[in-house]
Amino acid sequence: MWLTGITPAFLTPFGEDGEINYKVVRDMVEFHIANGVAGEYVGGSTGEGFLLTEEERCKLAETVIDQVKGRVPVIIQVGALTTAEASRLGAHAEKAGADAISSVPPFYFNVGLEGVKAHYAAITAACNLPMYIYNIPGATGVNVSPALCKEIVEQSPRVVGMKFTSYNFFEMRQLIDLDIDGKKLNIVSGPDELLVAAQAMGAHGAIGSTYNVLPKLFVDAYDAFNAGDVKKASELQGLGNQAIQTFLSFQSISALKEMMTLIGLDCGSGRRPQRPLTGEEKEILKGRLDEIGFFDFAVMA
Amino acid sequence: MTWLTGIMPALLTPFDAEGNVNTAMARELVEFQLTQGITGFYVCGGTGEGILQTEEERRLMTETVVDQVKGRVPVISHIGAITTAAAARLAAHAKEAGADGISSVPPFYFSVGFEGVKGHYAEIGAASDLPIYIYNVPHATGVNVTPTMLKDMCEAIPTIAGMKFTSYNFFEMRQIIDLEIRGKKLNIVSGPDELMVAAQAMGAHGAIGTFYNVMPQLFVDAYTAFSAGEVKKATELQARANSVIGAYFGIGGGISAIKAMMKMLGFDCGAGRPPNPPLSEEKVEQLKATLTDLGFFDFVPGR
Repeated sequence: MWLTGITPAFLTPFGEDGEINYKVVRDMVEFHIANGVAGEYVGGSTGEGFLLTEEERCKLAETVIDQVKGRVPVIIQVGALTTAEASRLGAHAEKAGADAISSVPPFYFNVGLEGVKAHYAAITAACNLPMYIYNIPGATGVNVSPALCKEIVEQSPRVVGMKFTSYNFFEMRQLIDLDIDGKKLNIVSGPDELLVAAQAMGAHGAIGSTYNVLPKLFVDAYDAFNAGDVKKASELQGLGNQAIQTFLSFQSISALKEMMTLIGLDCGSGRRPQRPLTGEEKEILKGRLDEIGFFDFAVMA
Repeated sequence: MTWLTGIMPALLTPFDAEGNVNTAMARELVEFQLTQGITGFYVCGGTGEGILQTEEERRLMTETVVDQVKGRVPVISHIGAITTAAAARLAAHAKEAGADGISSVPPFYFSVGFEGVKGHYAEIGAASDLPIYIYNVPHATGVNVTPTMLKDMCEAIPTIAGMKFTSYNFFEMRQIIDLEIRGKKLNIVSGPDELMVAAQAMGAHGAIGTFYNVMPQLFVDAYTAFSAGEVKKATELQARANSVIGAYFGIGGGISAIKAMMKMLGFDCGAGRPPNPPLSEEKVEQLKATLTDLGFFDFVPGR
């Protein structure tokens, strides 16, 4: 398992009743694959994994895996408040046919370095899939530093890489350069707004929210960058960033879902406590997207 | 009109054994850096310990560098100071001395609010018609000059030409690059040496930083490779530089550690000025051993 390219952090579409809309899940998979994505990352922050029931998380994983049918790797984010639930979701992901799992470190409770290590040890003991640590200090309050990461990998050899969601690319580079008894880690970057910057620092791929709605633009930026067309890559990144700035000025997951709806994939709203957009906000969002040329550079589903 | 590109050292201010500015060594540094392909000098900034020097010393450093460079590359004099009056006097002096641009941190220590920041730059702009590069280094000053603040100030102060952007928030850097003021773009140079190629990928026009004193050629090569589309090579060179920067942080960092590295390369720049602590002999040896392991003395030409 070695992830490269652009992988959407899969949005979980909800119907008007607030339940997962599995028809749109399947349509999104097809839209993403048609636009060149390299994988699907399911049930992460963007996917509101922590706001879904365990049963919903299992069925969502099964549906994506069934629809993808092995065309690209599927990674299931199994992180949860309790180590027990994360372990159960890990075991389920393996049974369901996922290619890898991923997990945030323990959050809310400050369990210390040993607590973090024990959490990953338990999850990786519950299933045989490769594990990507999901490091997102801005959300969890825990930074998995290069030194801590090394210790985790030494203790839990199924850890193969990290989704790195922080602006500290100096640390990201140290993670890329880690050598753990001859083993290199597979590092994918998290901040979509810095995709080409992360590529310049040597990240192997990228997983993020905006790749749901603008898969082709970011695949093109990634390809241009790696072909040495750095000007084109930077220009595409600039366009992508205008879209990112736009949805960040609203309740972001609800706004991103509204953008999906506008390109033809009805994703509903974010689940509470995330606020849905008001009718007026939807109009303002659409107006801003018009101004930045979103409907010209986005691919419709 | 000055438009900075390429790799520019935030020039160290060398001190002699008595702690005075060593102008002879400053001239030698200038000549060494120029042979390595650097494209400008940034004098008396954070690395140059500008705010720890007297006004007289700062004027001497600016005059010395301008005189030695003789127009071969642009010289930007950092004139930021804790009082607006000192900054304005130094701005006027930089113009007389023949500098190509000035730069200033926003007011620090006292929280003066946005109007205070804007007033500070307005007085600097009134004291000199040189292009102003705002030096945004929020972790040191406690003030982040946001894209919105910058746009507002540029509209009021026509000589603001750009920014030295020393933060990891390249999302904001890109917003600043994309700003348009009276139909013109600002000239944005990145500050974090350890992310130089990342900043280039985001569209920064050039880079000013500390480690370009120590490894000018390596960074010039990385910059050139990146601009030519040789991204793999650029990334590898950045990673090599970062191993050195990691060794520097590993012993605690600081200006005296940079100066110790310069001494290892044959340029005795003295120690950092207090409150910058000196580097103990033991730490110097430790640093030297780590650098040797990293192959530093093979890939960095000294003299």
